[in-house]
Amino acid sequence: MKYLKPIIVIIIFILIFIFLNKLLSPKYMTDLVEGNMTYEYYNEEKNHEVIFIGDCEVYANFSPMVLYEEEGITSYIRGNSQQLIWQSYYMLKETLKYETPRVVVFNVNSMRYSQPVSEAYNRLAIDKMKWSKEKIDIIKASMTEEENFFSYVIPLLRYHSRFDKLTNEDFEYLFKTKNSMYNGFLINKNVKPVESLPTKRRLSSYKFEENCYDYLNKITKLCKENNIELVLIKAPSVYPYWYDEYQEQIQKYAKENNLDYYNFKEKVEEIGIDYNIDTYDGGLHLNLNGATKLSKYFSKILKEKYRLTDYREDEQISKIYNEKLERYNEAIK
Amino acid sequence: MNKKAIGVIVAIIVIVIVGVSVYMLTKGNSADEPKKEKNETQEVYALKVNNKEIKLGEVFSREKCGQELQYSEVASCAFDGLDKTYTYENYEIKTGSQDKITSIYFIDEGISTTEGVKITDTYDKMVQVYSNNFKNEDNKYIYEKGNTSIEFMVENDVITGIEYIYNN
Repeated sequence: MKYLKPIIVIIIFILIFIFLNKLLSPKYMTDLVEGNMTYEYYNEEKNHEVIFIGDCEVYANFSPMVLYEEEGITSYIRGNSQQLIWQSYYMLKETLKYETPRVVVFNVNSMRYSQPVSEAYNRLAIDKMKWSKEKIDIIKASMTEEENFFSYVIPLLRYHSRFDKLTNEDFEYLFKTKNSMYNGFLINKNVKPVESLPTKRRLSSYKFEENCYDYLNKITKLCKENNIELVLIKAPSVYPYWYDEYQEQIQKYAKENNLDYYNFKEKVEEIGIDYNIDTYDGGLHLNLNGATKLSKYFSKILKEKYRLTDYREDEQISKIYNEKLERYNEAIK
Repeated sequence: MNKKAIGVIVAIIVIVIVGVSVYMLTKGNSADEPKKEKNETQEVYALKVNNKEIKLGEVFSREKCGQELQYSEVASCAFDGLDKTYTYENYEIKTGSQDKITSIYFIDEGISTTEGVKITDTYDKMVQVYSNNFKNEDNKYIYEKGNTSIEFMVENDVITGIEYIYNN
């Protein structure tokens, strides 16, 4: 009984602490929904034959709903804004704890970044990741010099000054969440044609850094160990420039490691992409129209080359996907 | 669980909470606090064009920089704000947050730095003008002044690229 009072006080303290942590952390529900991408995966049925990993060039350009509608492929995009290659590796590692896909599609754009870039993007990808060894590793690998590990453990350390910036969203989604993505795909229907682009700058080095190759090797090894077909892709973005030297290095890597590599920028005409109507930001990302074209094109390759299952004929899975399609079709109207 | 164990757990929790509270009170930086501006009055690199000085870190103005030949803007993947690029005949100005000039990139040899070095000049001329007090990364030679730097790309002893950069 002697300890009852202090224990109650401590418990109240802890509850207040947990509550404040939750209240002050960004919810990413109506604004900056990209911050909820990592979390949405956890609520999914884990039955995907294809997993995409990469940066915005996957979640904006490929629609798993189209892959299903066209060829019955079940897929999910584990991508985030500016997802760096080590983040893709740990996301994949985490994914393999839940399921083993037949194909992993990795967008190679992040090979150009060898250092942590920005805390803001780290937060979008990592904040809502479930605690695991992968989360610890991803934080360690991603932190910029100004960041510290404990601010990820206790978000209050980072967000305590949001007190005067709280919005309705912070209260409405304090204990609940909603999906903004469609198996990891973020719909954008806007149209902004490619008009003018910055000068293609000369770089001091075009060679991908050792660090990036290390993680690419780890992704390749992880897939081989799990009997997964790894497919490398480059989305058809017109900017940032994908230099010929980059292309050659990836081609060489793919050849040496017996991997398929598709650079969709080279197939733009075949796919039917029109940069006047198929991009929402002047050529960096495809809009819904462009993503639908690209997904239709890629679905045929995936189906034919990797002999994936047509789940439209599976009663249980088709029921799940038909519900998803209903929601998706409503959203793309 | 015996009393001693409970005491230890309580003590650990108290220490953690007090520690976190102290940390929060003493650590100034937070998600929504803008980084403190570096001393804007310190010496910085600037480019002189048509007798006007374009300073890195200052807000872009057409009045000073002139009418560009081409303008392009690039949105970020998730956040608001645009990286804007103003292209002139021989150089390109990039701006970032709040339209502050973050980079001046030389497109060709038609323009010289304020100190008189241009693309196609030699490594020796660069050292003669800017000294050998540089940072070297691969074929890049970086001179820093305040929160700005000027970077020269050198291939086979010839300057092939020049860029002014604002290191905010």
